[in-house]
Amino acid sequence: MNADVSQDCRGPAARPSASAGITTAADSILRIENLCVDYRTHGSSSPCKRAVDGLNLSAKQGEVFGFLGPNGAGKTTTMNVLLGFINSTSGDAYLFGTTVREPIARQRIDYLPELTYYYKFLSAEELLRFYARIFKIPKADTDRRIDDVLKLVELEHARKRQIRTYSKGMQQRVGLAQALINNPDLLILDEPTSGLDPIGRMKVREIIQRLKAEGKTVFFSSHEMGEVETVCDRVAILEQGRLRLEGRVSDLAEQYQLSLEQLFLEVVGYSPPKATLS
Amino acid sequence: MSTTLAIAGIVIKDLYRRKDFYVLFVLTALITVVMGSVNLFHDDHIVRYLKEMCLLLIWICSLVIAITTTARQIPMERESRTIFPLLAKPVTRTQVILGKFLGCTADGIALAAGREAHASHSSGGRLLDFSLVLAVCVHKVPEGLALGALLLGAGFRPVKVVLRVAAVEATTLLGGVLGWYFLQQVSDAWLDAVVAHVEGGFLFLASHAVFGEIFKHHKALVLISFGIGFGTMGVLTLLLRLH
Repeated sequence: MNADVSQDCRGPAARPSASAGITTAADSILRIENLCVDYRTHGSSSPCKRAVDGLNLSAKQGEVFGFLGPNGAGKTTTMNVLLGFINSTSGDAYLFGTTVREPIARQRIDYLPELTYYYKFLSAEELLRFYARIFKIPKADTDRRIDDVLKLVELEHARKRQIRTYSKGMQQRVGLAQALINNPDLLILDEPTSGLDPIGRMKVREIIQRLKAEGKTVFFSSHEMGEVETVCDRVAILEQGRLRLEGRVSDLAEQYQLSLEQLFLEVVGYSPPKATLS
Repeated sequence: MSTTLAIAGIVIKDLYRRKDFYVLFVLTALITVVMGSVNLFHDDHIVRYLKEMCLLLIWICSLVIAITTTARQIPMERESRTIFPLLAKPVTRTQVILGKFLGCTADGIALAAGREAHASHSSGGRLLDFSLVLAVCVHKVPEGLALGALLLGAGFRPVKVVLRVAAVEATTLLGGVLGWYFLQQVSDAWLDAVVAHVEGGFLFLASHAVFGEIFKHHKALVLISFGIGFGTMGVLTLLLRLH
């Protein structure tokens, strides 16, 4: 069984044709087409390192999409292209049909980084007000939105406190709050539960599920396979910059008769060490 | 424009929420007290000497500030990684840079303060005026170079870099016009307080930047820059005296 999985999934390049539940260009909110990203390594004579290699992906509205892969697989690089932090070497990515090279493509999305990178000298309310100004949300709506998102992430009691005084879980939740301030249609989350305790993880998971129920699209990377299995509709597994597997979680489980974690390990070619401790 | 102003507002909030900011106030108060007490003796020579000393310090500080504080505005944002959630919003890089450097307007206000101080002080006023103009101009050059280098490193085209640096530097002119308009009508006491505040600010930032950078980065580079600034300032002071 396992050998079959390896053969099926580890093709020489991304193979969207082998995936289940593919969306068409017309109904996809997020679309990545033949994306390649090269990084220049130190020294002009050294060859470039290809971080993402011919990636094709799409996510449609109301979908929770899990973006998986081992460290260094190219997940964060892909997210960086989607967010406009870096340009692709070739290929392109589109959000709501607009190329990510245009800042306006980010009007209806928001992003939660893996770690909390916020102005810690601000309070949660001030931070949200600042981002609301960036999105040009009218003042009356801003107050209402701030109340709503702080209630959603259960930070109403600490809204006036500076972020530097927050615990890690609270900082992650303020991150989620800022990611929701513009009521985005697409949320890009980079390992949203990284470093959180089980209660914190559960709360973040609940928020993602609530967003899904509201019809939002969530595109997130994670190393927590149990979490991905619980909240995701579809997943894509990347390895060395290439798409190795894509499909609906339920379809993949049925097709390969493996848990997502087992499937992931097979796809990335992990074999457990044979030696045991005496 | 509202995006740029929002970013500038964050820079200002960062400034006044720092504990360092209150040290700056104490320093300003001290300089004001010293300058005020000297005036009690009614000795123009001492007053002028002290003003020269203060302006000398402004010169040193302005050079150091140019290379350290201003040039590190955006790298700091990058080091603390707060730039990423910000750039994930519908914000252009130009808006971020303009917002960050809107603080340059303060230089223009310092310039105007110097001009008004010159008009109100009969002795030593010209020196104060000229010194402030030089201090601001001297620190604008490396500031522009630092910003230009940063933009070039970020992959901007040379033409765009020149335009953006020009836009940032133009904020000084804006500050100058604002300062000229408002400071014309204030009393000497208020004008002295503004000048003292500017001096205190320069002093504090310079000492803060020099020591901070020495501990964080290459000691030799910081000290050489400091030495060059000090030498330049010495030569300029000598030239001033000859005139």
